[in-house]
Order: sequence, then structure tokens, then C-alpha cells
Amino acid sequence: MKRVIGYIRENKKQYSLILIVLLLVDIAQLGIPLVVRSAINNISQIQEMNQLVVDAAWLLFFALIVVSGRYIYGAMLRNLALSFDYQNQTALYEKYLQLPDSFFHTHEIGDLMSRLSHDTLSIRRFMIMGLISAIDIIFMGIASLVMMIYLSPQLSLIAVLPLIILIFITRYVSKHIFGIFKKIQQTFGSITSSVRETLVGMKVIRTFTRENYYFQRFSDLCSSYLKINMNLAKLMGVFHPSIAMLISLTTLIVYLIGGKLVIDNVITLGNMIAFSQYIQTLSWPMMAFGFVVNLYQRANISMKRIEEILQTPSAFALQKIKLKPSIEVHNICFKNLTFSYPETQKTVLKNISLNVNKNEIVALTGLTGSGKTTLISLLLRFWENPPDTIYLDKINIETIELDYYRKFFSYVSQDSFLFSTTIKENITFGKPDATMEEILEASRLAELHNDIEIFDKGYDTLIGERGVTLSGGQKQRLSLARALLVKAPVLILDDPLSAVDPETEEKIVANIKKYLKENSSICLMISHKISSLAWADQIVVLANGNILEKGNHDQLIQQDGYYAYLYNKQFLDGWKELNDDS
Amino acid sequence: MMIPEINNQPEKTQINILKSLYPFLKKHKRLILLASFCLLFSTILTSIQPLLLRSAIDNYIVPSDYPGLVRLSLIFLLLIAGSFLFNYAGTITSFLLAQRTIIDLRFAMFKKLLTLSVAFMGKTPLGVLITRTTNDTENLNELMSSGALQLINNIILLISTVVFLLFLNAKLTVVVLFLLPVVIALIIYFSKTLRQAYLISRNNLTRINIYMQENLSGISLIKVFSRKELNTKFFKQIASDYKQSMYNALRKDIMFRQLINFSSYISQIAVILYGGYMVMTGETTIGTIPAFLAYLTHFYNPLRDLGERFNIIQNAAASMTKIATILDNDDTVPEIDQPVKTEIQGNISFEKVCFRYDTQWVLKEVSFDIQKGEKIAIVGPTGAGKSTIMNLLLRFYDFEKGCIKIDGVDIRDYELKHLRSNMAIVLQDVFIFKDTIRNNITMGNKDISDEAIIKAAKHLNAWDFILNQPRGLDSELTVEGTNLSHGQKQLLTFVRTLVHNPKILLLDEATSSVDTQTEKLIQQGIEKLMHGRTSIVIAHRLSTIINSDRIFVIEKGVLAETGSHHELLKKRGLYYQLYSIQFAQKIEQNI
Repeated sequence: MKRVIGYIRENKKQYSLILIVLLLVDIAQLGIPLVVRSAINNISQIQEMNQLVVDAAWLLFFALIVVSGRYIYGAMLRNLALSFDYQNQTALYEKYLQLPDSFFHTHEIGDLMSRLSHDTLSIRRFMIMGLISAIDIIFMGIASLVMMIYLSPQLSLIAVLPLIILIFITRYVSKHIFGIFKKIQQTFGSITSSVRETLVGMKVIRTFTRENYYFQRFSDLCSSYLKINMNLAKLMGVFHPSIAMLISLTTLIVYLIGGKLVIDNVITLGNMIAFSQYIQTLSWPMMAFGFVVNLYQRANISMKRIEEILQTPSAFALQKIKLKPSIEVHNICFKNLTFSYPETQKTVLKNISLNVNKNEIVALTGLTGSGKTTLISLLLRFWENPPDTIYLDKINIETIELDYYRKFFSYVSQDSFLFSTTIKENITFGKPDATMEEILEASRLAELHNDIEIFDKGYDTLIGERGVTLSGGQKQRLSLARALLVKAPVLILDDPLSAVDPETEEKIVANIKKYLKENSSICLMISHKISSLAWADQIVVLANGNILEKGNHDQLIQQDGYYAYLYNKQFLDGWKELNDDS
Repeated sequence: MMIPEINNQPEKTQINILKSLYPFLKKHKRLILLASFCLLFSTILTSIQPLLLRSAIDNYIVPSDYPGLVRLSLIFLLLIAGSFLFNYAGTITSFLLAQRTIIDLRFAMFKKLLTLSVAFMGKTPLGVLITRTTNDTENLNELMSSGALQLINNIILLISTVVFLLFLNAKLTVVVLFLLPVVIALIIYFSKTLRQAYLISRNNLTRINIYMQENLSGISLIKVFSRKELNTKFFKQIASDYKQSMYNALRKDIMFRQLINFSSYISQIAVILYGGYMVMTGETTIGTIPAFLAYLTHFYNPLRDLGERFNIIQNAAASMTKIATILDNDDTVPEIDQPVKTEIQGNISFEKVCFRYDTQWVLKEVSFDIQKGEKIAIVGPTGAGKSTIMNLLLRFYDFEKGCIKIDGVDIRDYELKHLRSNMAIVLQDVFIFKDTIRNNITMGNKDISDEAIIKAAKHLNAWDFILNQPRGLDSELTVEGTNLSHGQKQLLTFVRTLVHNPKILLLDEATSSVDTQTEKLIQQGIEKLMHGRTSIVIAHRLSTIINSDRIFVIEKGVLAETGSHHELLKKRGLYYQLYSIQFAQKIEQNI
């Protein structure tokens, strides 16, 4: 809770003001029963109308203080809490962007999201409800007790009894209700995923005519949802009526015992009615006590979860030397690179040495898990490479400032991830101020332009749930256009054309070749398709983290190894057939 | 900028919510009666309490009748206990009513989704259909469990309070009620503004969540494309939008509550002034004043809630409108009265079949005959109409002109279930359910024995990796099967198809590249699947094309060429062109 305390300290003035207003409101609230007492006594004993008007004026005055004060401190407190929310949210966001990749291997996105949404919410609840209630409990609780004892000490002792039970009930309920709500949310989540799954797999389900089974699964989930909701109903069903009952019970005691005291002339009727009002006032802090403890506990857990993220060292912090040398990117060099991921012992790359020069195209291929994507991730510095293993223009990349370094690269990721915004904004992702000509050029290079023209809104078409759904091939071509637009010196393509049909692939390959020549870029590409591999200057076959074969197409065909096997598999069958026929 | 604005207009409702819910409510008439009865009684018992307080003061405390006070207290105690019991029973029964009604509604929705035509599903975004079945039904749940009955309850409480007030003192009641129009105006105004304000802030929160989710998923792109600063700036913008809108909503909320509070204080002052005057002139007794003050709470508490309840009702009505559009949708696959259920052999014939999506013709007079057991490969450019042929066979869509026959019978005359259970489709996007490996294979069909699964899996070389999973067939697969490799997932769908032993196999070959080893297993798998059954394959692999009995070349919705690989190459037509683009040119370039 250090951050919370720090925040309150930073906004000392505002919080002090809130405290003052809150105390004023509480004093006014405590004054009201006294005015009512005086009014009742006036009516029943003195019978003086002028006096009654004075009482009414006091009541109006107190009411105004209570109402306006509550509005003022309520609004201020909420504003402060929301600003604290904002601080936490932006701090988390900025931190997420700075954390090293290894962090995302140990934390799920859903968990990181919930820290930003749910945890900030439980902190906000504490910052609003928790703080007010804590002050109210202390001040109002003690003050109304004092007033009650002042009015009638005997009555106080007995009348407070039911309210003490109230503390235990709220404490019990707020403890259990949290668990129930969590379960309700989880089950509701499962229902949602079940519906999603059924809809996505609809064709499969219908073809195998298994509708009944999936309905059964859905109905089981709905039934358990019903059960948990009924648990909530039972808890709430007891909770609300018992609060009402306990408060009524205090009134009963006040009238029964207090009535006797009035009859015996120990206290006045006005005192008794004022007393019954104080005990109503006291019931609120008593109830609040139960859930303030709970609010605090939850906010505390949430704050810890947020602080845990904020205290994780960012990728920048890990780097000791940060230079910004002038680089023209003539050469990329891997020197005896051996690498294994921190959490496993398995070596993913073994003693890799590779030299790539300007204007060169290097293609990487090999079985799944051979280390291709890891090699690229190390070059892009998603993971920290072992010391002295990768050089850019003979400069050790570890010494180059990270953001500066990455400006030399452009990238098509394997999953061709797109953002749910317009096509145009996706293409200009790396260069938001690109001109329309640049966009069209990149789009044409990726053979995307004709697809986009079909859409009514062209480049302003939205992608995703609220817009059009793109095919796998279209997504890949769009992420290629995005990478080509920035014209970075090094272009990295991770299996960029796997879902593109052969005709289009042919055209794109030709376009990329032309593009690389014009921009004298270096290109590293991963692929399983011979059609994408064959035209590279260097083809590197990786197997179990080793370089198995290296050379151009002709050299590797002559070596008659894995590449040649792949080639025969994918091409030669067809080539032979064609020759046999002609 | 990224993440477009979300529409902030509250939805308009044009439906009678009770009428739409009636079919679901009528099953629970007894529960409705019981719940209303309990809530009514608990309300009445609560409303009597201040009356007893007045009696305590006027009849017992002021005249100093202590035994009378004790007797009255006993009655009061009974009232408290009774009101507790009825309140408890009312809450439980209304919850139960809500849950039972909503579960029926959910079932009806889900069943509808299982039968609605693929054409309709294709037109409606996935997220919308999910929201209808989950969130929209949940809004109705809220209406049922804390909206509708409580609203009725509040109204009863208000009315009974007014009745009691009138009974206590009619003149004083009029003085109290003179503020009512102001209060109602406040409620109407604020319930509308608050609804709008909360909607905006909820939408802003959704924007934050979507943005965050995408930024985390695409974080490597943000790093490489140097978007940190720009995206941070944008995130701060939406976070601050959210903060502003939430503050706006919360501030208005407090203002509303305090204004109602103030009205309640004004009423109290009126009671004390005018009531006091009446006591002094002997028009009423002193006990009336505390009783009136107590009734004021009964009056203002439900009023304060009224706006909230109306919002719940409005939300529910909007949701019900949307749900009704799906429930009332009759866009299902039509079946004839006495459908054919004869055993299917697997002879397929298309007779001048025409089909269009909206205005665009996808198939134009396509005719062909496929003999039982024949292997057909379909090739052609993207969008030529290849997958439409499969969709029509499975009756995901119905053709517009011409006729499709299986074993000489129009497919529309078969019982739909019978027709489909004789066919199997393997799609490009393999689909794995979040379930055990066994259930993924059997799709929950208990008639398929483990022996049959093992036999099929071994036959397709999939048994080894199944055994390698932590709990064999009982291993749970995660959503979309991420703990299996892509190739393994494909093999699993092959096993699924094989155990169901269809007469007709429809296969859309995946284009995505896998490594050579897996590729080999998949090719063998496809050959084994096709063995002994009529099969139609949208082919991308050369080996599949060459191994088929006949190749159908589809272009622009027309069957352009048919024949074997050799025949078609000799023709030097469209197939030859496609084939050379795909394979030959590159070989010439590279050798």
C-alpha cells in the first residue's frame, strides 16, 4: 500500500480538505437528532410555535451542510481516486511496453489485463468507499455512542447489542460474497467460451450431427451457473432482511426500555426519539466496519499485484552500455552463438556462425523447433543474446541503445498480427505520417491493393469484429505491406507467405526482390516453401540448433541433403510428370 | 487513431418485454405467485411498524401504561420476525424464478444457434451472437432477480406508505406530497442522464481493454516498429477519456442522491413545522410526528431506487429486442414432411446447379456425376466456387436452381441428420474443442469405443503423440488446441473423421506449410482417409491431385475441365496453365 500512502501524501491539501468537509457533515448529522429532540420537546411541552420555527431553521441549516458537504467531498474523493486509477493504468501500460520478452513467457495476457482492469477497480473502491467509511466509523461511531450515552447511559448498553451482531454479519457476508462473485464470473466466462467454441466449430458439429452433445455441455454449465447464483441468493436473502431486522430490533428495544424510562420520568420523550435516531446513525458505521476490512484486504492484494509488475526491471535497465553509433548496416554477423531459454535447460541454438552482407537475401528453413524463430528473436533483441555473439557493422549489438537499434529493422511476424483499426492505420503502423503514395506503393508490393479496392471504404475499412474479416492470406499480405512501408535497412520475414496462394506468392516474391535491390536492404526470411526459399542468396538449413546446410539453391541441390529432399518433394514430382507428358 | 469510438447512443426498444418473456414465464406461474405474495407481505409488515411506534407513544408511553407497552412490543417483535421471513422467502423465490426463466431462455437461444442457417451465421459477427446468448440474457436475469419484482415491491411500498400517511393524517400527507412532482422530475431527468453517462464510461473502459489486449498480443511489433511513444500517448488519451467520463457519471450520481436527500430533509422540516402546529392546536397527537418521520424513509428509499430500476428495465428491454430477433428468426434449413432415410451409398450428381450469395452468382449450371468410391480433386483460383460445392452438399446453403442428388435422391428429401451423418468435412482451419482428446475424436458420441479410436489413431500414425500426452486419451486440450502442433491437430481431425466412418468425405486441404516429416504423415493420412469412400478434395498438394481419379477444374463458378492429371496436361488448357504457374516456371528459373 506504499503507493496509496504516497499518493495521499502527494495530494495532502485535497485530502485534508475532504477530511474537514467530512467532519463538518458528520457534526451536522449528529446535530440533526438534537434538533428533532428539541422540536419534539417544544411541541409536547413548551408548545411555542416561534421556538419550533427556530428548530426548523436549524434543521434546514444542518441539512444544507450535510447535502452540499457530501456532494463536495464525494466528488473530490472520486476525482482523486480516478486520477490514481489513471496513474496506475498508465504506469502499468508503459511498464508492459518496456518489459523484456521473457516476462511474457511467464505471464499470461489475461492476467496482465486483469491487473489493469480488476485490480485498479478494487483499489478505487477502497480509495472511495473504504476511506470514507473508515473515517465515518471512527468519528460517527464514537460520536453517536457518546451522544447516546449522554442521552441515556442505561439504554445505550442494551440497544447497541443488536448492532454488534451486525458487525459480525457484514464481516461474514463480505468475506463470502467475494468468493461467490468470483465463481459467478468464472462460470459466466466458461459459458461465454462454450458459446464461442460452439459457434466457431459450428460446421464441424453440424457435419458430425453432434448438436445434442454440445447442447448438453452448454446446459451443464448453465445449471452450475444457476446453482452458484442460488448460493448468492441465499446469502443475500439472509443478509438484507437481517439488517432490517436488527435495526428494527434496536428500535424495539429503545421503545420498550426507553418507554419505561420516559414513564418513570428518567428521560424525556424527545430524548428517547433522538436516541432512536442516533442508533440509526450508528448502524451505518457498524455495517461499514464489516466491509471496510474486506475492502482493505482486497485493495492490498491488488496493490501488491500492481507493484510486482512495476518493480520488475525493464529491458532497458538490464543494458549497461547504451550507445547510438552511426550505422549503415553493411553487415550482420553471428559469431559462435549458443543459446538456451532461461527457464529450460535445452540448448536451442548451438555455435551458430553466419555472415550476412548488404543486398543479400538469407533464407532459413528446417523442422519445427530447429531454432529459426529463436535466431530472429535474438537479432531483434526480444531476448538478450549471450555476450559477444551478434554484431551489426562490427559493433556488438549489446552496446547499442535498444530503441535506436530497432529502428534499423522491419518485421513480419509469424502470426501476422493486426490491430482492429482501419487497413490504412495498420499499413502505416511503423510510419504514421506516410503519404498515400507510400501506402499504395507498399500495398501494391504486397499484392494487397486489388483486395482492398473491393471494399466499400477502401483503405479506411475497419478490420476485426466490428469490421471485415480478412482471410489468412490477406492478413499476411497486409502485415507484409506494413513491413515494406518503413523501408528499414533490415527486413525480417517469419514465414510471411505460408497462406498465400501460389500465383500471388510468385508475384510477391518478384516484388520483394525488386524492393530489396532498390533499397539495398538486407533480408532474412524463414520459410518451409521451396518457392520462397529458392531465390535467396544464401539458404541456411537448421536442425536441432545446428547449421546443417548452407549455400545457394544450386549448391544445396548438389549437396543432396535436406534441402534437396525438400525440393524433390515439392517440385520435382510435378516437373517429372510434366516432362513425361510433353 | 487506433480503436474507433464506440456508439454511445442507448439502444431504442420497440418490444413488449412481458409478451416476449411470456412463453418462458408461464411455466413458473406458481413461483411468480409465491414470490409476489411473499414480497407483498413483507412490504406490508414493514409499513405497519411506524404505526405501532405512534401507538406506543400516544397510547402507552404518554399515558404511562407500561404493561400495554410490553404487549405492543411483543406484537412488534412478531412483525419483525414475520417481515424477516417473508423478505427472505421472497428474495429466494424471486431469484429462483429469475434463474429458471433465464436458463430456459438460454437453452432456447443455444438451440436456435444450433439450427439457424449457415448463411445467417455467416452474415452476423461472432461477437454479436455470443453477446446475445450470454450478456443479453444476463441483463434479463438482472431484470428478473433485482429489477421487476423489486420495482413492483417499491411501488407497493410507496402506495402503502401513502395510504398509511393518509390514515395517520390527511392534511399532513398533502404537505409531504407537495414535493413529489419535483422528486419525480429529478428521477426522470437523472435516470436518463446517468444511463447515458455510465454507458459512455463503460464504452471507454471497453476501449481501454481492447487496446491493451491488442498491444500485449502485438507487443513485438510495437517494439520493432518503434511505436512505444505514439502508443503510450494514445493509451494515455483513452485512459484519460475513461477517467473523465467516469468522473462525470459518478459526480452526477452523487448530485442526484444528495438532491433526493435534500428533498427528504425538506419533507422532514415540513412535518415538524406543520405537524407541530397541528399538535399544538390539538388536531393530532404527538406520536404522529415520529411515525411520519419514519414513514418518510419508507417513502424516499424506494424513490431513490426507482431510477436504477427503470434503467435495469430499459437495458433488459433492449436486450430482449435483440434476443427476439434471433429467437424469431426462421432462417433454418427446411425439411420435408416424410424425409428419406434409406442407406446412403455415395453416388453424387449435380444437375445444372446454380447458387448465388446475395446478387453474385457463385455457381453457374454446374453438372457432374461422381461414382461411389471415386476420388475427386477440385482445383481452381481463389473464389472460383470450390468450397461452395461442399457447402451445398452438406446443405449449409440450399442451391437456387438445378438439383443435387445422392444415390438418385434429391438431397433436400433426405432427413437432414441422416444426410449429414453420412458425410464428413475436414476444414482448412482445424478445429479443436476445449475437451479431452477422446471427446475431440468422438465429439461426445458414446457409441464409439476406445478400441475403435485406438485402431483409427494407429492407422493414421497419430497414436504415438496421443500416448505422449500426459493422460493419453483423457488429456485435456486447451482452447483451439494450443498444446498440440499444427500438424498434430490436423492428424487429430483425421482420426475424428475416420472413427465416424462417413460414406462421403469432403476435405479442404490446408495450404499452410508444415515441416516435411509431418507433411508426410498428413499426406499418408489423407490417402488413408479417402480409401474406400467417395471423396471430394479441394486440393493444394500436388500428390493429392495426382493421386485422385478425376480432377475438376473450377473457374468463375463454371466447371471448366474434368479428367485425370495426364489427360488435363495433354489438353494444354486451364489446368495446364495453373499447373505450370505453380510449378514449372520456378523450376525453369532456378535450374
